[in-house]
Amino acid sequence: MEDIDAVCSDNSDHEINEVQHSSLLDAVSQLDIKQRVKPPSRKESSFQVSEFHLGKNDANRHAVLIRNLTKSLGQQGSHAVITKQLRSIHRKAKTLPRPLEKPVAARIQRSVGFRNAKIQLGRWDAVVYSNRVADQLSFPLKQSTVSFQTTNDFISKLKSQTRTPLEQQMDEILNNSPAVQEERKEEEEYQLSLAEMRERRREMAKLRAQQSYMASKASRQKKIKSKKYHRILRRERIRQQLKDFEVLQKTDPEAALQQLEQLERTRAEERMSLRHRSTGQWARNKAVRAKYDEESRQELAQQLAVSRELTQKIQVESSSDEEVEEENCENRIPTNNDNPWIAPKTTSEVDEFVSEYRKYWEEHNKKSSVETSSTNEIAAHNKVEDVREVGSDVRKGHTQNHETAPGDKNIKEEDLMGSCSLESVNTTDKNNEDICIDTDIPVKEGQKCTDAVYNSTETPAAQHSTFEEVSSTEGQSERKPNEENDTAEWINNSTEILSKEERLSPKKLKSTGEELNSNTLVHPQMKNVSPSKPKSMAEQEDDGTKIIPKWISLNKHKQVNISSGVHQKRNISPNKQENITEEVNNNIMIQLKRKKLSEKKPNATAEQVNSKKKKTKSSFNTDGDKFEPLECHSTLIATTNSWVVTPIVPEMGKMVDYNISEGKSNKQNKRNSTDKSTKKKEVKIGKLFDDMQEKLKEKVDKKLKKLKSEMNIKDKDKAEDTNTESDNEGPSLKLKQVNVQANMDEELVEQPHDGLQETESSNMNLNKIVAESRLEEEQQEPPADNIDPNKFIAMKPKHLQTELPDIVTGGDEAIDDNEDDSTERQMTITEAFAEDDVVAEFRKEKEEVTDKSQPKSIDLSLPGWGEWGGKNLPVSSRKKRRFIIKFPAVAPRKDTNKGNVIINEEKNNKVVSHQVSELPFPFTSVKDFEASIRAPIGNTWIPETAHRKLTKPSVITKLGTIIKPMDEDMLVNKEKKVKGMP
Amino acid sequence: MKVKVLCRNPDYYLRETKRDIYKVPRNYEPSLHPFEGLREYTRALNAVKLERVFAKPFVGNLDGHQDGVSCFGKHPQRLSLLVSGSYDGEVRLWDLPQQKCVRNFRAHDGFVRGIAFLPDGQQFVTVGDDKTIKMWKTDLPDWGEEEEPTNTYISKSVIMGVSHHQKEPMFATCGELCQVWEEDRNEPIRTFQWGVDSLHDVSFNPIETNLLAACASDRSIILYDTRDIGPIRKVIMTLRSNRLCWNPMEAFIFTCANEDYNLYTFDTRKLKQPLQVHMDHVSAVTAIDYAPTGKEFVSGGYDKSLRIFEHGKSHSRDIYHTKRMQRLTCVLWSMDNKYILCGSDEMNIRMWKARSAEKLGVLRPREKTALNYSEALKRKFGSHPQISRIARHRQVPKHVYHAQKELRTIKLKQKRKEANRRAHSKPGTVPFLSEKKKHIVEEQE
Repeated sequence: MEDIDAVCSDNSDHEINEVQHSSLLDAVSQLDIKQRVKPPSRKESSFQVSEFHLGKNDANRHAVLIRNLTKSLGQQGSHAVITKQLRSIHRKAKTLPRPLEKPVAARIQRSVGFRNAKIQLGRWDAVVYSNRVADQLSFPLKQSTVSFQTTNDFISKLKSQTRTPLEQQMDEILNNSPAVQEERKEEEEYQLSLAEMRERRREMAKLRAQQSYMASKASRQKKIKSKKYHRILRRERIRQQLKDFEVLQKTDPEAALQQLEQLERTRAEERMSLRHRSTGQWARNKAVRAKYDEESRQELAQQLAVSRELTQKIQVESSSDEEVEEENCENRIPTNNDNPWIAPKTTSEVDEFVSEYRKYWEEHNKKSSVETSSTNEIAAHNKVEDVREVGSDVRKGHTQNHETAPGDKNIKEEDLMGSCSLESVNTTDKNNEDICIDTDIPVKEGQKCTDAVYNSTETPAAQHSTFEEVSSTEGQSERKPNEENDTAEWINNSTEILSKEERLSPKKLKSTGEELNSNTLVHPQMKNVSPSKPKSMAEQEDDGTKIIPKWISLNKHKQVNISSGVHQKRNISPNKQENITEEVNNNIMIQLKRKKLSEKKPNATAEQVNSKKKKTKSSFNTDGDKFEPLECHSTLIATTNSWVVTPIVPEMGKMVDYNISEGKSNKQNKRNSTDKSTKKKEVKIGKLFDDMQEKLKEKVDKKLKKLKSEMNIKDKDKAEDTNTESDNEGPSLKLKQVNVQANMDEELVEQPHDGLQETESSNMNLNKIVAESRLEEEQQEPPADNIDPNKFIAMKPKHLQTELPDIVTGGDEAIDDNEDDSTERQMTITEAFAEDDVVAEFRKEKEEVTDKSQPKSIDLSLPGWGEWGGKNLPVSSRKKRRFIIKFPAVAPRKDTNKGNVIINEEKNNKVVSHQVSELPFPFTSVKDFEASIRAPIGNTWIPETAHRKLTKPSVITKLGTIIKPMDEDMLVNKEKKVKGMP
Repeated sequence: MKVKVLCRNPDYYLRETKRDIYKVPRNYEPSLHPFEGLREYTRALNAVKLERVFAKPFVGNLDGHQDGVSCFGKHPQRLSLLVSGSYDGEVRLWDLPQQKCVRNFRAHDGFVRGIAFLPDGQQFVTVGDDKTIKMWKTDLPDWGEEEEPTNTYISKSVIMGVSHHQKEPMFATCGELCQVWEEDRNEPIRTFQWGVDSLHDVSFNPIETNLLAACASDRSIILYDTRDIGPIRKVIMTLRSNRLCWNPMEAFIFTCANEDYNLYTFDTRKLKQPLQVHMDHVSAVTAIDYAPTGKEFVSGGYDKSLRIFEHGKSHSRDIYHTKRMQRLTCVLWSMDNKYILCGSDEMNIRMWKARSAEKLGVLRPREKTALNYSEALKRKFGSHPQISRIARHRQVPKHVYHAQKELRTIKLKQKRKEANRRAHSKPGTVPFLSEKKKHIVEEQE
């Protein structure tokens, strides 16, 4: 009941508090909804918009949208444009991305700012670095120019002050005229300073003058009717092009090659097409007319000439060079009629020689063909050709005396062939000996001859050697076993010999010149590179070792360190051997092709071989066995080689590989050429050669690796350098200091100002003084009473290391004038020193010095100890043994056997304190430093101007002149110096 | 046939005038003048000895301040004028040739923290501890006119330094903030802030004129671009830099005087490490100024001595000191590259020669060439032990000597310790750090 009552009462309450209840409900509903910030409302206009004023999305719920506004526009045609625009706007509208956080944004801004500042500062690099290395800087850097007031200026001032009214009126009218006004306007727009104006005007004038000059020239040239002139012009142009091409070849071989290719292509195209021929419509028309019309005939001829020009093959070498070369060769030939070796050979002789050889080889071939298979025949034929080449090469060095020699050799060779068939080791040995003997003969002949014709006398030896080697190719199979031992020494020998060659090269200038000849011929392009300097080439190429670096340099591989050439050379020498052979071979080929029969060339080839022989000449018989394999190998390649070596090899490494491969091919060639009957032996030989090649290859590979690694390191270094440079913002502008001087950066030697060390130092000083005084006492001479008057004469002469000036001696003229005067003078000198025995004195002095320098044995015995018997008794040997320490024997003095000198072997310690112990900073070598010290700068030694130049201070400032900081004008030096400007 | 005749042309051996030097016909044949190396060496030795004999750099003393000298102002056009401020707020203008004070007035309450001349030299700005910036006329006030600043700017924060733009009417102050002021505005036109630390020195780049560098008390050096960006880079060092000076000839080079006894030359573009560490001072370095040639700079510090360094060298060329000179607060290298001025705690301003053995005044041509020759000889033989020994020998105050000794032992000890640590730790864990990198903590973007 109570419950009901309560409900009833509730009901009654509800009835009563209707309003309250609604408010309560409202409040409850309010609890559920989040509290919101009131959307901002604009009250007053202000510049600052708070970021909090940007309302949230739901704040816009009640906002007026464009959509609603545009509804009223409807679909009317008149509003089509507006609705379209609105639509497009809607489509494009996007919410902007959230701005970056403040610190991040600031950081970005800072980094951008710094980058800009860096660029800005980088502009100063050039100025700063140039100032840093400048020899002399005179501050203030920007010297103010002194300008004087000219009379015109002065007068113009006066004019402006005093003017008649008429003048003024005129001025007004003139100034107000539209033309003048326009001009003024222009002037105002581009205000140029007077200097700039003048500059501009000058430049314009120059340009115009040049233009007119060119135009007139062109018209003049065009007017010239002479066909000849135009032809010459064209030729000149072509020649110029060729010259340019040569230059290009020197400077940029790749580009040159490209150009060459281009030329080739045009030539090919020309040949392909029928342009510039007489087949075209135009040409045919002309041809019809040509009969009557001279002009058209000429035109046609021209046309054909053009085609000829275009289809002509390009000769790389200019003819003039060859001529010069020839001349040189001729000049070098000593035309000595007495010397049968040098006597010029007639073509008939040469032909005779060749024909003989041909005969021999034909015979030989017949023989061999009987013995050998068909494959061998072919090989032999090849060989014959090769030998023919050799023969043709050598024929010039051939003389009447030696016309018999081939015959002998023929016999010898036949013998050899016989021995080949025998296939016995013993016989081969014999053969070798025979050959040795053979080779001896001409050498002896050579020895008989005088030195002057030495080289020429050697040629037969060379000839012989080549022949011998030819034969050796046949008798290879037998010789190989012998050589097996020798091959091991092969490389060493070659290097030794070549080193000898190097040493001897300066002595035999002639031969080097000849070698040059051959070398230059071997590398036609090389000759192009330096046609004017055959001598230097000779120096460079007199030893084959330098050929490789030369090639490398040709190929623009300059990174290869040639300075370490000695080491390199030794290592490459095996290759080099091959190179030489290639040279020889090449030489032959080229000579054959060109038919340039300069007489030195065969000598040269012989010389190259010879030069090696020369070194072993003295012990030829004994070393012959050692030596031969080397030679035979080289000529072997030469003779069997059918390769044409292209002088430009793209890479050093490639080149070496190439050589190797060549060697291999040689080997193959050789294999083809060898007998089938001697197949077993051949296998042996093959193996041997393989071994050799492998050895060589290994060596070369090693070397290559080394080189490559070095190059890599260098490249890396370079790369690093470039990396570091790239850090430096733009190109490095660091310049090299012109005047290098020791750059000391050391701490000051600072000592306390007062007291402190004084006591110590004073003590030190005292000690010093005492010591010095003692020394003085010791050194003091005996009292004057003991002076012996004779001793005064023995004054030690003080020799200055100078020559007396010519003025004193009387110069050359004086000497020329009276020869007997000098003898007279000598007489007087001898008279003057007649009573002094200078020689004896000197001897005595020297003895003293040597005695002094001899170390004394140390006597440790105490005085009186063990001398019970009294003084002056002979010292017992036991005591001597015990107490006297003998000084070990010292190396004899340097001047022991030099009668008239005393060499002071003790260094002067006083000097040491003045000498530099370490190389000061900017210097990298002692030599440089010493050179910098050696060169005097005082006006005692050098002329005043040079002295001034060398002693000029690095910074000059003037007392009382303000030096302002650098400003932008230094940066961009706009003003060019103009002549005639104040 | 040759006929020999005596020929004497008086032109060859007679002087033109009585005052002229005797004509000596010279034959440069080397054999006639032997021992050139040795003789030149002796000459060099003599020259270097004479240099030490003539090395008397002290020129004069300007006294008048009643408190320690705090700062200098360098007039851009007049060599003879010097403005100095002191701890008691007094500013004095000095006539240097006469070594006299021409004008003095009390500019601020408390320290005068900085003085900077306007580019035209007609006015100068002083800042003080009283948070005011005042602009003064360089010329003496007219008769009866009061010493009054032409303009006074009141700052909201403490100001520690001032630097004027090289060309434009604009100057920067530092303190709590770095502010850029225009001469005719009372409010700073720009305010830069990076971090909250206070700045104690500010300096406009004289060449790249929009660049501004400031030393902060959080051990950093901050670079600003005054045009729009503001701060651009900050480099933090191990100890704080006291003063900073731009090289007037090399736009990107500045040197700062550091609390760790060293000076550091930086390339602005590469702040990761300094180009050069200049170390010879034995106490905190508080002042630095570049020679107008940009080849040298002078620094002074708490070790009561001035040191002159050559650009690009880590050791000083010279040390100047006097018995009574106390801690240095400011140094100045005169605009003609001849004199150095230093202000110190004990109220004096001292004037020195920039090159201690230089002869002042007009030199006759022969004198000049002789001096040049001896200079060249000294340079040539500079690496010879005797010559370098004599050239580098200096007497220093006892305290400097002892401090140096101590520092040396400290350095040795540190080196030894590091080596030991390196020896006894895993290889690679204790890396080698170059002297240049040691003192840089961080470069902040």
